[in-house]
Amino acid sequence: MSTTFVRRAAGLGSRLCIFLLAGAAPLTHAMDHADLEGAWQLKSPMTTLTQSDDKLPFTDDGRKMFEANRAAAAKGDFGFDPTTATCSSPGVPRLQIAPMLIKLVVRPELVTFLYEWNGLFRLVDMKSERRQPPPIGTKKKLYGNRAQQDLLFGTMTGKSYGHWDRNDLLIESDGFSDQKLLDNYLPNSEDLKVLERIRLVNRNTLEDRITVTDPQIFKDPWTAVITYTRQQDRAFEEYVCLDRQRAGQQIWPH
Amino acid sequence: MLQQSQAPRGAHRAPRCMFAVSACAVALWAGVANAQGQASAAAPQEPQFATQPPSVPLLKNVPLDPPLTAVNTALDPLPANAPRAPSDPRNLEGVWINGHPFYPQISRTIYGTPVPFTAASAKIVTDRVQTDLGGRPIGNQASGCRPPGAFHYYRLNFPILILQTKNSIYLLSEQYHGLWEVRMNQQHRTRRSNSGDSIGHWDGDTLVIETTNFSEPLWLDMAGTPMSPDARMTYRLRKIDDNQALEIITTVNDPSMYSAPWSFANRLVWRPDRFLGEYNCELQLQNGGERALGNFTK
Repeated sequence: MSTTFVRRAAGLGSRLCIFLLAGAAPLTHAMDHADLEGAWQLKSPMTTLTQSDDKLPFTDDGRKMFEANRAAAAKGDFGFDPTTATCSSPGVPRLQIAPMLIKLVVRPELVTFLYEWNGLFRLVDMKSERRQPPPIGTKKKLYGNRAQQDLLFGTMTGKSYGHWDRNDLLIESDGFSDQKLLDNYLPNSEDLKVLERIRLVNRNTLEDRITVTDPQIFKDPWTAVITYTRQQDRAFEEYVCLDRQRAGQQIWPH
Repeated sequence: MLQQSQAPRGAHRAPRCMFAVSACAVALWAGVANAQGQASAAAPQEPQFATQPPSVPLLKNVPLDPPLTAVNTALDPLPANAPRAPSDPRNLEGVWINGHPFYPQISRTIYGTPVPFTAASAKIVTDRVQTDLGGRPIGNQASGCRPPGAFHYYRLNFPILILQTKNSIYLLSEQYHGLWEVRMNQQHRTRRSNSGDSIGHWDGDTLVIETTNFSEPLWLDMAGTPMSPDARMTYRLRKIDDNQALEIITTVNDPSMYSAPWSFANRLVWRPDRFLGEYNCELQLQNGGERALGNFTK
């Protein structure tokens, strides 16, 4: 049959990474750590991860890419930014500075970030063994058990594995595409690794301390801190990025 | 399984069990409950026709809606040591996926009767199918990376993840990074949106979701079976098969498209070994898809 719907599904099906949770238990609700669950929003709007991105420890190639991005943006050319240009997922860690509401649903086996921005979500595997990532491009069976699962290519949100360090939620992520940015200007390579330490500063304040390691772009790891304020739970408003783009509305803050 | 004597009041005959036994059971059960004044008005009822509704052509080389007891051979077997779904009938959390063979076109109702097309809606789907049969691709909202309607999330071979919080139930779909939020025990909001406004409540151990206030016409299936923005969709979800499967009865109430409310059924299976991958629809669309989209029949 020739419906595009089927083609799209089949095409994506052949390219999607289906991650597998062998031995995962049913989701349960027992909590023995800080209650991060709820609705959160940036304490103040952010477009960059740090207040002075230009002082980060760039490699020569990394700085060239960063400067080129900033110069293009200054001219209103956002072709370097797939999110602004195409509504592509901002990915990790940029989603963490998404405008609008972010909800956290915490289960012992799975932590889920729900983003009001374009109805995106991000899943953190809390149960599976952390394993060394395979080289991107490794060919594996798409539908199989966990042992057969590996990346065909990097993705915007990569693969995230989490565990608790007392009351702090630690998340390690890798397996990223280089067709994304870390914030409005910072590039990343497929070697990007992101370590997040998420904790409650107090009942109504959440902190995400993000450490970026990417030897192609940065000589040394560096850390940014994002702060959120707890919000009264409310339903998401539908946000369809492509509709906003078509209407000439801003789709991502700059 | 309820007995024939328990058939819905006012129904001339029980649903034909071409679907799962469980689907028939829920239809019968709902009818009984309705007769007792316990169920919502959305419980599926057999459409009554004054005249036979117009027929529509079928897409080429696609299977008709299968028995829901049929096995989806696209799935690997569930590992023998996989944990079982929670026994609490109101705990739907976890990953589920289409458990029967995928079928792209809904060709009959849960009762085995024809879909009650009006002349106008029959023409719409006929035009779409004939366009497709003529070799021109057709595409719905999802082809343009817009929310296609929740029914696509559980009808395709993509996993869905259900999460239940204090105020809402979330059904996440890998397909089009679908995020379906159901506000529990609330009133409808009046604002229209692509996905409509969804509210839910428990009717016994059945989760009843009602969705309305759509902003766009949607397709119920890949053949273009239409749904108007004024449709009121009702979804009845309940665990079956010793809690290891999830039955979803979808009822379409759309007087501008159909001469009577009608229902179709799906059965999802518990798959704790599956995880939702990334579906970055928009980037793919812009990397060539948009050009193709210009040729689509919307």
